This record gives sequence, structure tokens and C-alpha cells, in this order.
Amino acid sequence: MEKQFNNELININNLEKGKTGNTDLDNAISNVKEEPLIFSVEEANYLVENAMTNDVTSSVIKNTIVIGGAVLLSAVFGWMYYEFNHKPSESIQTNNVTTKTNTSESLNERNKITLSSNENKYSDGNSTELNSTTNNSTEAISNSNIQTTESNINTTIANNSTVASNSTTTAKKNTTSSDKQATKSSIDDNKKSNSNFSKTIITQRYFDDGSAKMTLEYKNQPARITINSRGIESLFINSEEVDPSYYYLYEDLAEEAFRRSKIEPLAGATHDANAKPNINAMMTGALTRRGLIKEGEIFNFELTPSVAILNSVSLKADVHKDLLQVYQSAFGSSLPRGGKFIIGKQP
Amino acid sequence: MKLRTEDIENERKAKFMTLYNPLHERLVRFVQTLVWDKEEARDIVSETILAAYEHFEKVKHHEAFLYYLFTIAKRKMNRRYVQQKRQSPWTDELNDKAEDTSPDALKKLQIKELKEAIAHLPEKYREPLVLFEFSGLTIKEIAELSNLTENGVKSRLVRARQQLSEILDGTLHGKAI
Repeated sequence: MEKQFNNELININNLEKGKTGNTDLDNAISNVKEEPLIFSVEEANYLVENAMTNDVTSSVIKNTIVIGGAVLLSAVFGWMYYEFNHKPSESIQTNNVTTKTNTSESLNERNKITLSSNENKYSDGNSTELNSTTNNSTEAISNSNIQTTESNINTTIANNSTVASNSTTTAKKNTTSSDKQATKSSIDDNKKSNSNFSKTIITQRYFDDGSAKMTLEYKNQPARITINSRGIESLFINSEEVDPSYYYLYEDLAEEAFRRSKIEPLAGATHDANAKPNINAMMTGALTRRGLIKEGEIFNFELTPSVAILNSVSLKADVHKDLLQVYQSAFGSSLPRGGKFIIGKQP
Repeated sequence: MKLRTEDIENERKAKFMTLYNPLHERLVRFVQTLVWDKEEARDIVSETILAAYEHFEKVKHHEAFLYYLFTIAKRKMNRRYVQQKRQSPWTDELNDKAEDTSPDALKKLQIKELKEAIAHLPEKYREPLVLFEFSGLTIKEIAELSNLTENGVKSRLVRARQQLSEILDGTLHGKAI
């Protein structure tokens, strides 16, 4: 002990960079120091050159503002799009898929769907009914993109209290200082992604509800996308909102957004996040991605706040925690105490 | 009038870059040693630069710019760390992303092992060590940045080196790290 202390005294007054007294360590340190920089000075210069003073905004937007003609043109197109898009929407009946909603709450221009289960049972099988109401009372949900359910799956959410999902909220977010978790701006040379993305600056904001909003340049046009675990909340290309039924055309953009924000696309990258979530499919996908089940495998799964059981085997605590997070992301609220989420038949 | 605004902005940018350029390598080394995921590290660097640029006039003395820059970087990394903990599903993936471009396999292994060992150090030792060994900050600068005395920094550096050697030698096996 004394010896160690003495050594320390000797070392402490004679600290030299890269000379630790351990040759292997010195070599390793020198190797790390020789590593090439991941960010060049030129990139830093470029970043500052394109930065705006007040807000960390993309150069794309800056250019758009400068080119007045382009703005005018896009405004005209925007108006035409608006005119076209705001005709009364057609009602689409979904065959297999159903959600039992005992809801009298209004659905205001696709802003919010509230799913409540006063009967303590939420069934997502083949035989329930879709019964949503809107503010305009007669409009059915258009393009709801409700996914089909796998036939072998039955879901029961048993719960003493009402389970409500605000999962499909598109209401404009108030970016308060607490909501704004991070603002990101980076040069992206997109070596990994495809050529649709030019060298660009990306701004990104995270919100407390788990969604992320980012601006990036896509096919030489400014694109603004808001995503959450359930898919795309909104997408604007060149200031024009893209209809959810066309999200599939922007798969690469959506995948890039999910990749950069590190949000797991539970329902697929181009899924309309405002459509009713298919929690069974999302959870099945999450289990598959984590290698817990194989694709197409028939399984039994039970999730409660205290335990996760897959095919009668209790999963580890960290996996359980992760799956609770998946459930929360998919459903929009956490699994309540005493609640139970089940896929498949339980003994 | 517009030209004048542009001139002011250009002057501001030039002033920032004059302060920033000498510290660039130090900053990038600091971030890339502590953050394994290359993309993540790049994001943190760019976020730091932009955040620093936004308010750098607040820095009264040029000497203080280093502390200003590194404090922002530290905060950004902490925030990412918290966020990653919240969004747990991808954490395993990050471990596979430790990248180095060294052609030598032995070097690669050494770098990987060292970075792993650094990651296992307690935070209070990790940061001074990286700042000292990789970012090239002096003990005085680290003390200023970490709000410690110079002797406190020295002591942490010695302990960090000791623990690092022990981790690399495998002597810390079985002990709580």
C-alpha cells in the first residue's frame, strides 16, 4: 500500500502525455492518437458557412428563402395541392380489421383517435367493428392504413382502469424548452445511404413523446419529416404536405430519418403514424427483430408490468424492460399496473 | 444594406473559425475517443460546433473559448447518453459499430481494447484521461474545465492510468468496475 502510494507521489508530479509507465498502454494510446479524424476542418468550415445565426436551420431552407421564384412556384403548387386534397374524402371500409372503440370523443381532422377500453378488453382479431366518429360526424377515416391482423393472434388487454391511446396524434407540437430535447445539425455525406440525399445539413429535434422532426435535402428539395415509432407523422416535400397514401414513395427518406434518429420503426418506416396502430403486428415485429422468435413462428406471449413470458419461458429483466418500452411506443401509453398484453393462446 | 448584413455575418464566421480551427483536432479526438459510433460522434461534433457558433460572442476572453467549446461537447455527449438509455433497443448495435480505419489488425485490436477499457473507467477518471492523453489539454486546462484543482486532476490521471493498466492486464476481473 505504501509502495503504491509512493509510486503515485512520484508519478503525480511527473505526468507526461503518452508515458504511463506501461509500454502496452503507451503503444495503444499512440495508436488511438494516430487514428484519422472523423470530422475534418473543411467540414467544420462548411458547417459554419451554412449555419444561420438565430436558429440552427438547414442551408436548404436558406436557399429556398433566397430563391423567391421557387417559393412562389411552390406556393402555387401548394395551393393547387390544397384544393385537390381537401375535397371530401371517400370512406374506405376495411374488411378484416377492426377496432372496437367505445368512443364518443371526436376525431378532429385526423388529429386524434382515442381508443378506450371501458370493457377491459381490447380485441384486435378478425371480428370486431370499426366505429369511429369524426367532428363532421359522417366522414369515415380515410386512408387509415389499418393493417391486417394475423389470424392466429388474439389480443387481450385486461386492465382495471381505462386504457387510452393517444397514439395517433398529429396535433401540432408545442416545442417548449422541455420538449426540445436536442437540435442536431450535421453535414451528412451519406456514404451509406443512397444518392437521393445530396450533401446536406440536417436539423433534427426530439420531442418528449418520442417523436423526432428533421429537415433534410431529398432529391435536391427540402424535405421535412416528423416520425415516431409508429411511422411517419407528417411529411413535407418542398413545403407541400405529402398525403399518407403516398408515403410508400418516400421509403428511402423515411428509412434515413429512422436511421438518423435511432427510433425503431415498429410498423415499418413508411407506415402512417396517425393510422390506428396494430400493436400485435408491432410487437411481433419487435420480437422477430430481437431474434426472440422466427418470422412466421406461432408463439404465445404475455407481457405485464412485472414479467414477460414467451412460449412459457420468462424473459430476462432487460428484455422485459425493452419490450415494455416497445409496448409504450406502439400503444402511446405504458402498460398500466395490473394490465396484461397477450398474443396467442395462453394456458 | 443587405450587403452590410452579409459582411457582418461573414466577419462573425471568420472570427469564429479563427478561434475554432486551432482546437478542432482536440475537440474531435475528445469526442471520437469517447463515442464509439462514428455517425454519433460526427453528429456530436457538428452539434457542438453549431451550438458554439450560435453564442460564441458571449465568450469574453479568447482563452475561455476552449472551455466553452469542450463544455458544450461534454453536455452534448451526456445528453446523447441519457437519450440512448431511454431508447434502449439499439444499444447492442452500437457496440458493433466501433470503427477504426487502421489497416493493421494488431493495431485495430489494441485500439478496440483500449477504447473498451476507457469505457469501463469511472466517469470521473475517464474524462480527464481522454482530455489529457488524446485531446492534448494541459493539467491546468483540465482543472479549469472540470472545476477541479490541478492536484485533483493529477491524482485522477494517475488513478485512471492505473485502472486502465489493470483493466488491460485483466486484473480487474471479478471486481466491480
